[in-house]
Amino acid sequence: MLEYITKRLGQIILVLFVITIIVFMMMQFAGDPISNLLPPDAQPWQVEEMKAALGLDQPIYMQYINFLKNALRGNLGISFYHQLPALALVLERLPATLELSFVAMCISIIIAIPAGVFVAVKSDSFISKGIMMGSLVGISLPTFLIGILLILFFSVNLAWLPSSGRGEVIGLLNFDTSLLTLDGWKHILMPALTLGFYMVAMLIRLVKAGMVEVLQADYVNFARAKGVPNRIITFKHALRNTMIPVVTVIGLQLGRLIAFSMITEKIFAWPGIGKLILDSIQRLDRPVVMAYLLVVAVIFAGINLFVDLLYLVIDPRVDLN
Amino acid sequence: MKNKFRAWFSAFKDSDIAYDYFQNKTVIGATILLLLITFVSVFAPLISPHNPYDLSAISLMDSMRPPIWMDGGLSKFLLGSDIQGRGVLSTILYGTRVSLLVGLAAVLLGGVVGIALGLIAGFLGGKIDTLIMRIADIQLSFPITLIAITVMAFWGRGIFKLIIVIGLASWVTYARTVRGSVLTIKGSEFIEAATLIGVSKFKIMLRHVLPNVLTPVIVIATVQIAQVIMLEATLSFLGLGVPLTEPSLGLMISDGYKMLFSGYWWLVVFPGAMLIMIVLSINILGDWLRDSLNPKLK
Repeated sequence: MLEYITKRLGQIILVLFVITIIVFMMMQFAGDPISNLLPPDAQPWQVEEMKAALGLDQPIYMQYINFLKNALRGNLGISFYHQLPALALVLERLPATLELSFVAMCISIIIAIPAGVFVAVKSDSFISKGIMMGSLVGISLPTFLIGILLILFFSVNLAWLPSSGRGEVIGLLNFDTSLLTLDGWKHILMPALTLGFYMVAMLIRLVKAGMVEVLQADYVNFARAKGVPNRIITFKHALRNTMIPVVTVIGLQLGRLIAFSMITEKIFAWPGIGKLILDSIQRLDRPVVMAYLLVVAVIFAGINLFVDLLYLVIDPRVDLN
Repeated sequence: MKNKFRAWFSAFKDSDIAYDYFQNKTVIGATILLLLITFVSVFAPLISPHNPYDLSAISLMDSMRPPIWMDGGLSKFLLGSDIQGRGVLSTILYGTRVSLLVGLAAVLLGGVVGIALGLIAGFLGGKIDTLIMRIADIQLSFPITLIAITVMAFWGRGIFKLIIVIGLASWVTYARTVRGSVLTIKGSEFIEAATLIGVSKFKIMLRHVLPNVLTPVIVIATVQIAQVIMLEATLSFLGLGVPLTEPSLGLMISDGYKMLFSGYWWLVVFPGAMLIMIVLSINILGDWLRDSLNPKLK
């Protein structure tokens, strides 16, 4: 177990190293950040001074070595635009994104699992066919379109829900959260639905497929023959075994949600890391882009590792090696 | 030739797949819709009321017209017009062309690269296999959307760039599937026989292994076309895909989104509906293909 975790941590460090190299090389093609920071009529000496101040006058391999040295000390550079440490900027906005992703995930689970079970148990009913068709439509809708259609309907036409920002937030421990105020809930509802839409559709299909397979298993037939009530068979015997792959997918999807929050955050002007990265990409703010990618990579790797270990707990048959 | 086709057609007509197909009204509907969309987009220059990217054909006097059935609608703009006086219907037809082109080309590129690497990894095994699959694992730990957004942000917009980036970013799915199938048939007697009579490895891969692993690839490729079209629209919406001078459904929706609160709903709803119709009909076909070609994949 410990050996496995050590091996995985080694892999994570290798991945992070590869990412820094790739991103560093890509940044070189992205154009000159100086031209975005100085007015077009800047004097040549101003450009040189700026370059020296940002360390951009050194050869590329020296820039990379300096970057690595600083990164190991937890310093990912100063944002060209905000003039603040890049890592702190990303971490400061991370709670807003995590909050959004978490609510999106909870909504998806609450909707998808009962719907998936219902469809599997009563596959011939009219409602089931509607749910399955709905889930097919759900995986066919791009995230940004869902967001826009929700805004068009609930903000523009009905004027029920606000279309941007986080609303009233309350400080809890060290973070602000919008989950403690009604205004905050009004603000988070549409972005969370937008972000979770794809996951609802996908989870319904996954739960249904798993349930259908499990319900044909010998032990389910045996339980039936024994006279166990249907309700108990469905929830205790079948659903529990279906949950093994579902838990994995939910875990992996949490990573996707954090990445996809870019689009949702842009549409709803949600002040999280996704909006920060899209703005920073436009400003060619290299340190922030790098910090974002590394933070997201760490989160992804952490989630993947956690899911694998969770797997071990809920399914004793799994052998990690 | 004609007889051959007739024989092939009657064999197809009697097959299980064809029977299954003609039983399924949703799938037939999706096929018809998809063929219709492909037709109107391929022949967009002949069908569309005007060319929205010909500057001499558009006029600012015609901007922001609502659809024809509303007050102020003009007969030449069936679905209304945008801020530059381009007809929404015409722009949709031209934009669909780009969507389908990017979808097909990126899937073709990703498919070829993925199949080739999957074949090599599965058939040759050893260190090459480990290397290819390790790269695949690393890439798979990031969503394709994130990779595409980052690379396009640094590389800049362009239809050709989109195809390359999305295509290369999606090779993993094919490679893993092909490798898996190759491993299961690698020990088969017909491969052994071919090796024994001295057929070269390259020829075995192409002539004997490849045809036997294509079924799951066809299913994946179908669903991938839908995914790629959604990704293209998303990137264009974010300003990281198709350049402003080219037609694109994502760009249209992005323009409409900026004016959403002014009540110009037709700028968003119609291109959005087109996008949903394309992706949904491909997904319906993909679902059906998966169920009927390979029940085990369900």
